[in-house]
Amino acid sequence: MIFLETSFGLGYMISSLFSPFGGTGSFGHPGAVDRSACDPDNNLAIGYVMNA
Amino acid sequence: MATKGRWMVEPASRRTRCIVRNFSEHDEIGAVIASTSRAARSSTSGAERWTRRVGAHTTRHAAAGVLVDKGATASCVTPVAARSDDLDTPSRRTGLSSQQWQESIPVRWLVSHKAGLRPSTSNWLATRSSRGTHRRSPRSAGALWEPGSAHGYHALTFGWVLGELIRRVDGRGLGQFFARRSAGPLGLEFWIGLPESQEHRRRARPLAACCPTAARSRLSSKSCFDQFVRPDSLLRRALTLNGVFDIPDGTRVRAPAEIGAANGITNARLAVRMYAGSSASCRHARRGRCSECADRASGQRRRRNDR
Repeated sequence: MIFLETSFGLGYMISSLFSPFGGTGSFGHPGAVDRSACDPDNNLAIGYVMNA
Repeated sequence: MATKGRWMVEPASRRTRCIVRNFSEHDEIGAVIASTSRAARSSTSGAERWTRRVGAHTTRHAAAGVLVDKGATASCVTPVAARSDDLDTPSRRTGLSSQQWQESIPVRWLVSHKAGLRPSTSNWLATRSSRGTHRRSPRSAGALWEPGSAHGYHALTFGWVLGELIRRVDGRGLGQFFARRSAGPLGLEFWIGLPESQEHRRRARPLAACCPTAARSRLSSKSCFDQFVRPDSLLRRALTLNGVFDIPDGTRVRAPAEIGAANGITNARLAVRMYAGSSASCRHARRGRCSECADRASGQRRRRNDR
């Protein structure tokens, strides 16, 4: 439907071509107006909110 | 964001350059980026290691925004389910229209976008909404694929079904449940369904209402986004909830609705705090019954040992 590879974990997207977050344990969501994710292995969380 | 590769592990300076380019070379009108590390959270100076605001138009919108909130909905469901056997329990209490679906689709397929649910065929927010509007069950004619056999982005049905599952199990709506179980304990000003008393915090406008014409024309020129501009396409219907997200801002039609996939309202710093909390939940789940997380963790350990 969105023409790109997607990967989903339990409720969150995990790293893929569509959502290249970070390490293999990272998860989050690349939305229309935000891109927020965390990488538990690197103890890092990032939020990027557009038009906000 | 115009980045290449794994953006979370890029140096902060490169991320900042990419964001600045969004303003200088593209049509970005406002954005906030924030990050936090575990070490910083344990410090006494506060949760955020650093926060950058970029662009001349940013500060007027900085207090609150519209955040696609599948992560917020997931934070309600996954930690609870992962610590129990509920992930593999048939989702009888989702209100799915087909009894066969209720008997055969486990919660695990709902949270991992494997259920194959069709987007709604009706605009259920056509009438003026209020808190709790997001309760109606999807009336689907059938699955887009054999449930469990594949996955695809359930752009809005994700929050729709999980919100209903929470309501039928807990008795509270998704917005109230999130406020009590996630936002409250983490100290977040983060709402799924903005209360009228908090309306002054809503600063951002829906993307469709403020997307410059030039950007729209560029999107439409790309073949992979052709479906996005066709009102009757599956992608367009899935992403806009059959046109609900084209409603001009300022009408308060949408803000109070508890849409568990697209109507979370907060800002970047607090979104980061929510994900930091989810990160802690994930680490906890790895020690418990979250098999998919455990599989990924063991894979990482194997790779490290191979080095």
